[in-house]
Amino acid sequence: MNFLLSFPLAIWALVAIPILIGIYLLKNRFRKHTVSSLILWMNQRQTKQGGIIFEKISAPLLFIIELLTIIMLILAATAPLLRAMTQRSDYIVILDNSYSMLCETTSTPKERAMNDIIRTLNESGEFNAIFILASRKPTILASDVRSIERVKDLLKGWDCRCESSQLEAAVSFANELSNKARVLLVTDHQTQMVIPNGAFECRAYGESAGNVAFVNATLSNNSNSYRCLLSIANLCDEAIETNLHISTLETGKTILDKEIALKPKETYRLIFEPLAANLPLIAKLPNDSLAIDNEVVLFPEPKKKARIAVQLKDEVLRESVNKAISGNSNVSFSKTSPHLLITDSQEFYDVGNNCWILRIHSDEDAQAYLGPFVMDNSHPLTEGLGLDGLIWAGQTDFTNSMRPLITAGNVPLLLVGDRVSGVNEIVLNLNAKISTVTRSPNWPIFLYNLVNWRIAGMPGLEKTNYIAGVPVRYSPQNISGSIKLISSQNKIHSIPTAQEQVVIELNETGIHTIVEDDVEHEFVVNMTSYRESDITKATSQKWGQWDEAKLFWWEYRPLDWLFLLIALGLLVLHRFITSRQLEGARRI
Amino acid sequence: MNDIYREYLRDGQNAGLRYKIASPKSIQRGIVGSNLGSRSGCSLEFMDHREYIPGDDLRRVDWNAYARSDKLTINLYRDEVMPHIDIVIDTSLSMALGDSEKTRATLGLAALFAQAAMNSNFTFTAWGVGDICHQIQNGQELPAVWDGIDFSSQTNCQDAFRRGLPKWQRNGIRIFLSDLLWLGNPHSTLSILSDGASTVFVVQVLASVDANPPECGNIRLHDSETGVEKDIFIDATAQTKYKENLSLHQQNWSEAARQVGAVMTTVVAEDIVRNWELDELVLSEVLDIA
Repeated sequence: MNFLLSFPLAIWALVAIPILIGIYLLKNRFRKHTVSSLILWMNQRQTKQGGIIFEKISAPLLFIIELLTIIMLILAATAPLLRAMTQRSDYIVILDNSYSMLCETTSTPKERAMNDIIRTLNESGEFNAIFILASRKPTILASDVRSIERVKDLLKGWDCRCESSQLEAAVSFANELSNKARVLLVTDHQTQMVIPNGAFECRAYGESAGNVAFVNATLSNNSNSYRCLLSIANLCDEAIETNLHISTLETGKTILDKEIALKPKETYRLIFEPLAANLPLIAKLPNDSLAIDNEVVLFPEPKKKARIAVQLKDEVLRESVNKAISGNSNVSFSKTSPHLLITDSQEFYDVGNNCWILRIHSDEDAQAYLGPFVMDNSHPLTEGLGLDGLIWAGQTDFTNSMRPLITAGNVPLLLVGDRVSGVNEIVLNLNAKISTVTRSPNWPIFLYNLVNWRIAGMPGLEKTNYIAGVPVRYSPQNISGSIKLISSQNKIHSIPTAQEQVVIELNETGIHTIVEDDVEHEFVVNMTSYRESDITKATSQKWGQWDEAKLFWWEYRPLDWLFLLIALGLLVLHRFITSRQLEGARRI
Repeated sequence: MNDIYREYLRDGQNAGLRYKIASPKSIQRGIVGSNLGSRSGCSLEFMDHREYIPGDDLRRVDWNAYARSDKLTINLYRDEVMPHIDIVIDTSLSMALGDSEKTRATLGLAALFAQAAMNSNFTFTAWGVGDICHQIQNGQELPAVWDGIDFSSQTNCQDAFRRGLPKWQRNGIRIFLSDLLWLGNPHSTLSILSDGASTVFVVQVLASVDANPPECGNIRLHDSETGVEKDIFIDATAQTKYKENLSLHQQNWSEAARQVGAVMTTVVAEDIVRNWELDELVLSEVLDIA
């Protein structure tokens, strides 16, 4: 161990000491300074009138402190170095966050990986690690981790609750962060990546095992009847017999209890209509190596129906509208508080805040166009429309301040208004008698788009059954308010609703609740993924090898911080003394 | 009026030959005029073409161009703005701060704006804010013949505006030149200033000694407007505190300006009178190069 100065020339800074003395001799004078206003000098400490006496009294002690501070700063500026041995290693640890890491044989791959990570870091002596969680997107779990206690603590956040893990993306991310750090990827299966030697090591802790799992589950709501679909996969290399038990979630009443025989790699699909139609269901398989995919909870999908009122005088048009809409199961015809009014009248309707209007202008003087039609494809109303070869008749001198979505040259044919306080108006410039629009496939497509757009604008959840990691979409009642998300672990998050749709990504399985204005909307997140439930390809192996040469080295450790710390302490003392004396001076 | 002031006005007028007034960014709904703005807008005056992007207003498609080229092209049009400017000058004592170029900069800027208005074919009126806001003699003529300007008032602009509202041109552009160094609610001052205006530009003119605190040591501060004195020991903390106070004060004004739709810019007198390069005002889109 020895000691040296990096910048001995900094000793020349000792000339600051006579300068300090000179400053002390000259500072006790008031200079006159004219300013535009004193408002910017409010709240400043005012010195005692005739501060010379005060300065003379305080000078010796303050002078000594300032002198010592200068000496300490000069010593720090010389950058003294202390030679010492170091064995610090930098690591970036990538954790596979997919749920196959929870597969239990003797222990889980996650537990084995945790033990190995702690052992590796323990053996490397001093270390500095960054932990990356490889889920759908790589995220940093923690950085600047330097102690084993911290490692143990943060590994509790490695929950392995994702239905897939993007390891390649996580490795790319680690390479971006890596600065000669050792990258360690822990997983349970062989990766397709090429593992270079030197700074990268991939360790798999999996064990091949058989598993029977739910790989798909829905509870759909079509044509006023509920239908449950369950897909159960035998992910073993041998035939197996298992038991499927389905019951209601709340009362536990058995709906189905069935023995199923499955061939190797066979996927069994069960479709049935539950008698307790609108109740949440829970389906269970017997426990096996991977417990998380042996249970699914299913909520009945919400059936958002748009009430539509059709008030069309034109008989041909009315018939074509009714025909196109009646096939849509998400629609009911109702004249009381409709969500959507379709009319060819130009009169004003007081339809309430919740009703949108499609107004069709069927002018007798309409002119038929073969094109060119120009369409704004970015709007949901024009999705899937193809206007080539169509004859569309519309009023030529049609003027309206609304935004056109389809035009024939400069003649607007379809226009939408601004959505203000939930109300929307759509205008169709169409004479159906001399057009082929209502007889083309575009007509039901357009009305389907219209109904879907209207339903998407209705408040509530888009659906109630989600796979972990898939975004949950919720349309709030109030756009400028906030909603509360109560997770399955009873954690409460408040989410602002600045837009027409709130998107939430969840990895936590179970039943979650969104609360808005005291109204609760429940939804469930399940783990169903064929790829992750298939444990047969899990393996225990190691790829790549770190370069051992970088483990130990000698380094000069800087000591400037010590002198800076002393200087800082002196400055604090200086500040303390001057502030006390200033207070005393002010009292005088 | 002081001959030196007239010289300052001439300097500013000469410098103003290089500039013109930038067209305002925001125009009140329904108010249009006869002069063309530089921004694309809704007038009938064609400015440029660009390719159609989904989501564009289909009413702006150039159908003739479409017929010729089979490509959808959007027409861009110019905005229209009202062509009158009211130049409002703070004539309080603090604007004539000794040992600074604040007066030269303020009068020079006023004359420069007047010349820039002429370059843009705008009409203008110069106003002085002393004890009340009053029209400067010959304030609609060339700056060199303006008269009656006197930096002697001890009243701040907020109180002066309250004493009597001037007859500023409705829907015109207003330019306010002041150091803004008084205690008061910036929002109420700017609300009066922006009432009925299409655009308001607030130019804060600071002397170098306003923008930067004095060097460390014992200082006797003298308020140029009220004559009040204050002894203070300046150290790095006091300097930082001063800068923080100035920054906070400017933020308050800037926030108030944003609320009333005004554009605020700060200039340091000594910097601009050196060569009358007004990059800050050009960047803030108050002025354009002629």
